[in-house]
Amino acid sequence: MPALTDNYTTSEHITETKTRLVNVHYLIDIPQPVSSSIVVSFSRAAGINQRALNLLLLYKDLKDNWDEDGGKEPSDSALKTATELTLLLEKHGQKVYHTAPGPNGEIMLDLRNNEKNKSLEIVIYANRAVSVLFPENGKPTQQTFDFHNLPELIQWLNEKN
Amino acid sequence: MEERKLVHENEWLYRRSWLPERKFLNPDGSATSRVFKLKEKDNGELSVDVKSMTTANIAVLDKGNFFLFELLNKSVILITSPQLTTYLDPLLNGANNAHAVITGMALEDEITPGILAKASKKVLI
Repeated sequence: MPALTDNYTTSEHITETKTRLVNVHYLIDIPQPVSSSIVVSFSRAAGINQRALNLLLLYKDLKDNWDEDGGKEPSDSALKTATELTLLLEKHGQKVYHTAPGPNGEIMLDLRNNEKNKSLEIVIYANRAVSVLFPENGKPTQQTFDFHNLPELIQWLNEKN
Repeated sequence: MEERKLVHENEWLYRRSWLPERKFLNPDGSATSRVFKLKEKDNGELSVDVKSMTTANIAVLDKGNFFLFELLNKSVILITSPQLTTYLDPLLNGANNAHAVITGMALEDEITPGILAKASKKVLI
């Protein structure tokens, strides 16, 4: 007992109780019959931007002259950036109201506030992107889009006047 | 070169857009800004038809693959930055006497297509 009390300290135990994320892997080495199969499915609610993501997949199939008026097929990089941006917005709970292909190979993402009286369009070309702010009142503005500007653009869209 | 005639502000204009599926439209059925976006080959002139000089069925050409949107010319020429103007521009050999063009927009302009789209409404054919 004296040996126990002499070595007792609280500080070490407190630091040891910090939560750690541990990955545990189980290796199973049991021969299975060839005919056996296990199907595991996870029910997952469709995300708020599933419609936009589905449309972007559809736009991948568009070819030159897709609008029967000389429209260029959406560029791969524009589609890739639009998809990444849509997923990023999904992660942050921002709905993409709509996405549409443009005649110059661009992809447009249209974001709106809850009241649908302000909108933010992000127009993505092969080598550049532009954001366009349509306020409830006043003059729209456009500027070069950069992912770093996204938080302030989303804040502008959703802030109450 | 013959001087082109201005289209009166009270005229309605048709703008045709290839949209094989309804889901290409905004969820509320309205036009996206891309419907009014210039192409390089447009040379700065956006094609429209003057409603009073045609019919919706003629202007749409193929209603299975195209939608038609209409907007009042006044809402076009009220845009002063850039200054937009609508001129009558009949196509040769009487192919389309109702054809007109909206001039003044630049290819880099992403604002004006959005303004025109918001001012337009879909035509039920």
